[in-house]
Amino acid sequence: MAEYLIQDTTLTAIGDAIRTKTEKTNLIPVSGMADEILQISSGAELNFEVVGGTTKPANPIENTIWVNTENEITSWIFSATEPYGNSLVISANHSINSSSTKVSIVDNSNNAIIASQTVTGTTYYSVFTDVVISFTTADGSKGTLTCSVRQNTTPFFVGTVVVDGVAVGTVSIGTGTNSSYAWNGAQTISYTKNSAEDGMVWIVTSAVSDFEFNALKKNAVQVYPNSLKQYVSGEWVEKPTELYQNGAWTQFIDKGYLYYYSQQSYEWEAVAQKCVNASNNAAVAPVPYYNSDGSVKISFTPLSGSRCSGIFWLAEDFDLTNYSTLEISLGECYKPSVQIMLVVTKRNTYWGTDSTYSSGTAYAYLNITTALSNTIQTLDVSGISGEKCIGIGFNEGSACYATMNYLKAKSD
Amino acid sequence: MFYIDSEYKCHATNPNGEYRAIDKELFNGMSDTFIEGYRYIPEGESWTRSDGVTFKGEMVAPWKPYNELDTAQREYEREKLTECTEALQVLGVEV
Repeated sequence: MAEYLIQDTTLTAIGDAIRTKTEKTNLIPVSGMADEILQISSGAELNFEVVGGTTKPANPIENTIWVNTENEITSWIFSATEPYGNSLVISANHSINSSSTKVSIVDNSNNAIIASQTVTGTTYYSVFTDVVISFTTADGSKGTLTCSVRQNTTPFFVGTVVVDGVAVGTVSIGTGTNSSYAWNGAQTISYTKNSAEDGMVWIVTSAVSDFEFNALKKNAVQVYPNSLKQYVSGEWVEKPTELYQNGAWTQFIDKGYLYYYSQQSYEWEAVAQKCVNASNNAAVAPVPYYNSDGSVKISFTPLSGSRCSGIFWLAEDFDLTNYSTLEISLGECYKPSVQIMLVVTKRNTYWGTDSTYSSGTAYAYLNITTALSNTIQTLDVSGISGEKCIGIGFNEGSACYATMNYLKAKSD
Repeated sequence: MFYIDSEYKCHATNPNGEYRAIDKELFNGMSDTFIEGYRYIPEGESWTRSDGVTFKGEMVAPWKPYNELDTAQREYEREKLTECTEALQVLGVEV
């Protein structure tokens, strides 16, 4: 074996380098230098791990995120907003008095108005063709909206959006007839800036999360995740996820999910409660049937021959302060005549609306009809704050039902 | 009866005849301020919020902070109560 001479100053320099990396101060024997070097981490060590599979890991470490998925996890990313995606909101507001249309483009990634232009004409039905509005998105992409305002034709405002040379969508705003126009409106154009790779996991972080952990063993990078999605076949798919902390698994679920298939994060109860506009009628409790797929079919059978009301609501009020939208995924629904509604109401003697202020108890509602079966619907709660009662109300004279897959309060 | 504009915002009156009339007893007894803080989307129609979320009708929701509307409504009802009290006093009714 060959032996080489090494100067003391060189060994001292190596020792100093080890001490700098390990933050130790003691002298290191030459024979121990190799071990010390091996123990030095080459980068920031993570304080969590992401594991995919259909069964829970047998020996999880603290902060193990188990994603119940059949798809291989290729990478992960923490983000509050959709990674690699972006959307623009194109709005057109027509002023009849000044015969002009104000066109605005908002970048949803930061809610900034990136272009705004008023197109002015001379007559009530002004005609404009090929107006080109240029914009630059927050991430530096260059785009154009080529649009026109059309005479006596709906949609009255049409346009094509191009970003970085690629046509990403068309705009079509304005409905009605010549005598009754709804001139104004807005439309969202979604596009992908770069493709997320298949299998990538997006750990959604939020200010309203129930979870937190330090992502690094050294230094503090506190993260607040509240849900998880995986990029599968070109779209982000929500995946059931659990987090291992303090020796126990906890369902990793967005606290905004008021009902999420079979994963119950909040208690619901069916109540024989009268509706405001049927206050003279009988109250009957609806009956929830939990389907094998985790959805709940809420059936309502009024007393024979009379209109009755009842409600299936959260057992406790929910604070809507940080939320702007209630999103409900509906399964099969059947509403024969009067009323089934997703309602934000007061937990008073009566629930519902359609009455005077003194007795009216609803803040907002969305009517659920048979035609809305198997769709996702939304209710605007941006104007409502504080703890409120949320439920599915029934006010019917015939048997009816609504099926709920999930109900989510959303902040974006 | 109330009215909605092209953004489905509610109005208590229709001075220029440009709003659409909605024959629905949704805001009986409510002040103009309260009514005009609400949005009503009729069944079969939809509206897209500035953040891109689309809402289908029939939907009723406040577009102004509800707490502001509630405060205005309570003030309106106090004024109405005062007016009624004064009217009864003029008529000689003890209140």
